[in-house]
Amino acid sequence: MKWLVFILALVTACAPGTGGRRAVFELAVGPAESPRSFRTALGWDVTLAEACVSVGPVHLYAGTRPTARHRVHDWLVPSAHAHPGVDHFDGGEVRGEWLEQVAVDLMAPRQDLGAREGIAGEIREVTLGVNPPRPGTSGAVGCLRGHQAWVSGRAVRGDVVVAFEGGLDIPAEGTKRRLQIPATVAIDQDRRIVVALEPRHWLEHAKLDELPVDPTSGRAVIGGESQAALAWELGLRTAGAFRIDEESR
Amino acid sequence: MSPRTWSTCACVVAIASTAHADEEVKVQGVRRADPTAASDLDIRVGALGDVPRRNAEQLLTLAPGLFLSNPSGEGHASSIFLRGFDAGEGQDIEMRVEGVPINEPSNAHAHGYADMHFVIPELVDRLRVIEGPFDPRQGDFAVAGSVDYRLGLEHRGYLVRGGVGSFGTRRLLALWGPAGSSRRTFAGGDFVESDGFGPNRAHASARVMGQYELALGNDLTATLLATSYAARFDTAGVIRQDDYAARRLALCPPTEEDQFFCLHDRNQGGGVARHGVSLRVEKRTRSSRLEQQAFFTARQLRIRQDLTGFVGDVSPTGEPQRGDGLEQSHDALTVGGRGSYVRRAEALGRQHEVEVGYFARYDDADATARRLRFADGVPYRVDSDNRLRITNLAVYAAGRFAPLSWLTLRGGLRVDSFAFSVVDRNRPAVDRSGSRLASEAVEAYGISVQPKVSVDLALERRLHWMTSFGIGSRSSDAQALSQGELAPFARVRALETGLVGSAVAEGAYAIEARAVAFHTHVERDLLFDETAGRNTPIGASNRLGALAAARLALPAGLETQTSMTYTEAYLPSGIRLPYVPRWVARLDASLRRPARLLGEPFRYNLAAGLTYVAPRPLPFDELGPAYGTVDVAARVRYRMVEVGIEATNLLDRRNKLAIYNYASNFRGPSAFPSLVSQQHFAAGPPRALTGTITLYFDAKEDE
Repeated sequence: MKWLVFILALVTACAPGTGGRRAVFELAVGPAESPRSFRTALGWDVTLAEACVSVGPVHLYAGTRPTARHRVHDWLVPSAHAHPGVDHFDGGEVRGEWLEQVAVDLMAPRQDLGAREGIAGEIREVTLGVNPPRPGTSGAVGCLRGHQAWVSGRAVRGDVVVAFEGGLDIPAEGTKRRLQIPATVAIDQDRRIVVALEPRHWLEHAKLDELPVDPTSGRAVIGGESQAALAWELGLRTAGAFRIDEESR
Repeated sequence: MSPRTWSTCACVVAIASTAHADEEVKVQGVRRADPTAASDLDIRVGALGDVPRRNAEQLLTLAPGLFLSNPSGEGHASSIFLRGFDAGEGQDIEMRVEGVPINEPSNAHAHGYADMHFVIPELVDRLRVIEGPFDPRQGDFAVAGSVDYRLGLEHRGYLVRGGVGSFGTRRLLALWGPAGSSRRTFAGGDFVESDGFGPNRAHASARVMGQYELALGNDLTATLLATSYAARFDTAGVIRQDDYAARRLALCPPTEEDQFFCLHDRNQGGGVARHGVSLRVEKRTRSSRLEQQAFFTARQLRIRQDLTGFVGDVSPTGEPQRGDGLEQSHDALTVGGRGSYVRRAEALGRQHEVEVGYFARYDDADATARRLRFADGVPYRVDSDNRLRITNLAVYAAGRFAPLSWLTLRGGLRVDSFAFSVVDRNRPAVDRSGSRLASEAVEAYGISVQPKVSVDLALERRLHWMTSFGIGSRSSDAQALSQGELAPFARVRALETGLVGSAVAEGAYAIEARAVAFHTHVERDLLFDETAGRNTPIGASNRLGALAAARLALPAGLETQTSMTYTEAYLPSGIRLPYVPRWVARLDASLRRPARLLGEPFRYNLAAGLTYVAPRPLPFDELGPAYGTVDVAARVRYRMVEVGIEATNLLDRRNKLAIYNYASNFRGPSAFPSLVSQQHFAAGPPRALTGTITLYFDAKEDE
């Protein structure tokens, strides 16, 4: 019987774990360190006066790490992606989330969304909801003016000067309100995950000189189904419009 | 009796000569089967049936290491944990009643779903439990093991019992054992209803059973069994741990006590009916036994559950989610038979045995799964709608060979084949090529070969060292097969070794004890998936562990059984499987004594059952809370009247009966759904008291 007790004690002591570990991490969202003034792909020198966007919920995915065989295959036969390379349907385990909504003013310092419990480990994909502001949305809600994003500023190309403003309303079709961003960060006990927004990508391909002008304000208005509004929506979804960083707390 | 058959005949078919040499007296009884492994147990319920148990399913806790967890309400089959297996509601353990298979292949709720609630617990005489796949007679689902309920009623005459207890529980039981017949002839009816121990836990059920054993002469016996059962039950289901901790379950007051027993969704519960007949004919001689059995079962099941709230109903138009409520229905007709022929022969001065047998079963079932609206429980989407026709045919050969006085070899080979025909009635009406019919049929076929072998060394007359190896299999879930597929099986390779000893001192004590170590490798294991609401494949896995068990009977009227089991379940990568209990301990004890008061004789009975399950491993290297219950009963019988009181969970411990980790969202249809895994639990029953009055109408000798 002694040997049985010994083996059981040994087995109990050496028992493997069930895998995974919970960790409390912090989440923050704010502007990337980029100038408010920038030149777009269409040659406009833009200076932003306002830029804000509704963000939430946020989900942090483990993603699927490619195997060695896949790496070799990808090296020999490169894949062409019609998107940033994130598989929309294979995000893997969700390791962290923030289920509220915040209006982020990109002209202001970043906002801490607080500490929350997640599952420690690598994050290879983050999804952001860009939804219409709801009752209870925190942050600079007034800046949104009821839209999912708002922007105003001044654009100059040669002799043409355009003062513009407008709101973005993304329709609830499919996953249009869910932005997917590749990431190489990790959740852990002493980490802060930062969602950094780059508004210079928003108007990258917007034809600002084709916008209708509001006779009251004298400003060109981005909205409706204009080319600029569509370009803004596409710009918001580009890989460069968001960046996921991590830092020690 | 040969030393090798040390436990084969507690109660044997015997032909005894009386003082009159020309007069032959036949004594009929149940022949205990030859044990095939160290953990092959023939458990006589006997006095241990005095320990309070809510239903016949809970008699399974007499098997060492077996733990039951029922988060889904009275009337729903419990999840069974055995030898490191989360055997679900029957996927990994073969269940039979008098040889009639109970597991339901490809049940919409759970593959192998085995509902034992149709059995009246007072009519269970013995349990043949084989832990592990070591017997060629074991069939589909015998992965962690198998259990065969053997029925019987000792009392001859009428017995009527009424019970009233906590939570508005009422029970009426009537049993009849005709005079002059064996314990295997009986009839009974059982009616139960209760408001349940918390919100949304009401249930009501009725079950009747009758069995008639008829001696036809020429050593021929026929046994006819008929059962009928219907039940309806509500279910509280599981709740999120964080909602409980924050006291924010909206359907209950915000006190800790109310929140613990609260629920997220009222639209959970089920209804079930089962009707069956079985006819078994048996012919025994000194050197052979021929057995034939035919059975027919009609079964209806509907279960409603909501495990995730508002996660799965993705609406492309941005509308609020309708809810993840899941309705699973299974209507099945089962017909089949089994037969065997055993031949015994003497050679080398010892007796040997060869057995050949067959098993045939055909299931015709409709299995559907539909999503229900949270608001009103109305179905809004069909997840699956299948007509299943499954044929299981098997043959086996088994033998027992004793080449030496201290060595017995047992083993055999079993071949199972499964033919699946599935009509999927939930295919799209349009595809890329245009319109099409919404139904599509597939067929698949599979064969499983399962060798078993066992070596029995008799160290002493009553001390044996048994080592066994066996391959067992679980059939595929027909709902996951594709056309022409060679249907895969979940196969297990099991090895165990153990010491089994017994000692009997006439008029003093009888004890039987065993210590066993085991290892099992599983191909294509299943684990619970909350989204599908059923178990889904996870690949290969392993188990190892050990158990110790003993049963002691004293002439003073004390009968007790105890067991302790340790198991470890892990994936090949070394990751431990969550939820599987590691340490499981159980004690059952009953004292039956005669006494006198004021010169009047009476009898009293004290019984207790203790269960302890050590903290269970959960995901993220966490441990759940320990689980423990103490159940007691006291009864006094004076002449024909017996008064009793029973208490289950006497210490009123707040047990978390089932614990799962997964993502859910019960914050509402418009809330952003949580996708991070969170802990959920189902509350175990609190303390419940039941008072009973039993009237015994003993049969007269000349009746």
